[in-house]
Amino acid sequence: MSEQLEKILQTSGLIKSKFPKNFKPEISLITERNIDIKEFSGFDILGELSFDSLFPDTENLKRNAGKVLFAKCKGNDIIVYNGRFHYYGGIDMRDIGHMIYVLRYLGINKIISIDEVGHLNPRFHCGEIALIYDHINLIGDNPLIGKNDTELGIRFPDMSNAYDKDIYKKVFKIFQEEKIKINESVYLGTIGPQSETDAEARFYREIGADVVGYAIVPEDITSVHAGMSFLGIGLITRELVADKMSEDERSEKQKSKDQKESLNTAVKELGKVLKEIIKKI
Amino acid sequence: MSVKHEEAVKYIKKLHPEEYSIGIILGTGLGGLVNDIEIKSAIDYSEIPNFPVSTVESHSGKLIFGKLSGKNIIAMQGRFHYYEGYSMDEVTFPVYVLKELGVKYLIVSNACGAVNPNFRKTDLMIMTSHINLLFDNPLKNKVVNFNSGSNFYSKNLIALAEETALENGIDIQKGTYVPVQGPNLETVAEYRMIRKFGGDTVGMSTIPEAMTANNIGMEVLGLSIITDEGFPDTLRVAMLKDILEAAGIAEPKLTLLIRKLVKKINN
Repeated sequence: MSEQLEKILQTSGLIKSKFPKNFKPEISLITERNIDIKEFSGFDILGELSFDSLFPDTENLKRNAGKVLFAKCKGNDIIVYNGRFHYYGGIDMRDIGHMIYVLRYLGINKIISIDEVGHLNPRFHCGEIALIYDHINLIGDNPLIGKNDTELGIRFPDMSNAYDKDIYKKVFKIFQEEKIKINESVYLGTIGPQSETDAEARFYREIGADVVGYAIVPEDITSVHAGMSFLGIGLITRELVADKMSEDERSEKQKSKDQKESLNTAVKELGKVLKEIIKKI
Repeated sequence: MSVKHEEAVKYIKKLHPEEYSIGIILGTGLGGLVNDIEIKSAIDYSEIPNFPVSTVESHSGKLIFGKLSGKNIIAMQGRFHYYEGYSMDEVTFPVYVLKELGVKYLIVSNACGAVNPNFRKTDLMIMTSHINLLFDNPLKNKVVNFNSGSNFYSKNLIALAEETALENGIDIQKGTYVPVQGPNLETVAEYRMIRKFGGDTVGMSTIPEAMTANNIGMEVLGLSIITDEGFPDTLRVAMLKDILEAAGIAEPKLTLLIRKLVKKINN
């Protein structure tokens, strides 16, 4: 057994030992730490576990990154990562991948990953939701670099279904039924965390992206490698439409206030459909 | 050249004191060329001091010394890929060694995917340029010759390769190769992007070696076999079986080309 797999089994074993009774999760939800799961209706939290307790002797980098929640929604058992490791926080790609492989060994076969994004597409608006159907990786690193453990997946994973088409279709339909605006998106992954310049925003738009974010790409690549289906959802909190950016006269304070407001709006919108998504997929 | 390179060179030179002016790095789909080489001897990478060791089972990892079309050549069977976790210094280590063994002409081959819609699976391509999307560079912390860009891929060797292809009735494309880190294949959006900014093919190798060779004054020729079609509007799941099948069809063409080409190189 590879050292990598050993570590994965160690973490997954630790999480499993804290499972509530009869807990059999197949779906996992990953969100930023600043999103309160209680905002989403229909979620019962059965228990929680901090990331710190999973990696007790780890460096400070990973501290306070988030917690694992055991939840129930519409009869489904769900593992929630409320918070995640960020590459821009100095975390190794392999460690970001690690958390995703752990999910597979907890029985997960579908991942719903939620990330805050900026929109490049001028038809989108802050406070709306981006449904991600593809990505462009401009991070300049990859969680699969290194020796491949065939127990986890194949050496050269195909990415033609990186965002599961069947799940995407179902979610699309739910949004339509609930009359929520759908922003079909190519997600561009960069390191972050600095805000993009207008020139960068123009460049990203030019090469075919609709939204920009920092978290989803490595999670998606790892889950494809490990054979799990992936749904990517972006909460649009920043406007990165190049031509408008240079004319933006808001103060930094106002910008971050607006960003928070957009996040709240988007979370509320998503809250209307999330339990339905979980039920249908 | 560092002490580590010198130790490796010293070890090899003791076994092979003669000069070899042509080096060939055998990529995926060029393994068959070995059968055409009159092999004098082969050295396992693991025997050579400081030489990186290949982790991929399908690459056996040998330095082959022999004659091809009457010319002294060194062939690298098995190379080091960035996506396997090797550093750029490890990936390019052999190139410095080849240089010290006398190599002036380096032929680097690879298998890649096409994004140019005029290209097809099983086609050959001469690399005329590249766009580096590796987000890393083998020349970091090295003494760099900044003037080599315009003749990066030897015009002399490109002309020779084209001429040879024509004489032997081999169809051959020319184009820009875009190296990415991998190891996952590209998404539809990535293929579209790569085509849009001027790429013809996408692959995961070759450029670190080519950049290094060029920087230390070798003439470089990059040759690709196209084993996969990355056309965004009609992308299908890439099956390893199909890729190997395409490689199997392209390989004899590339082998023939290199055999005839080596004969023409004036060394």
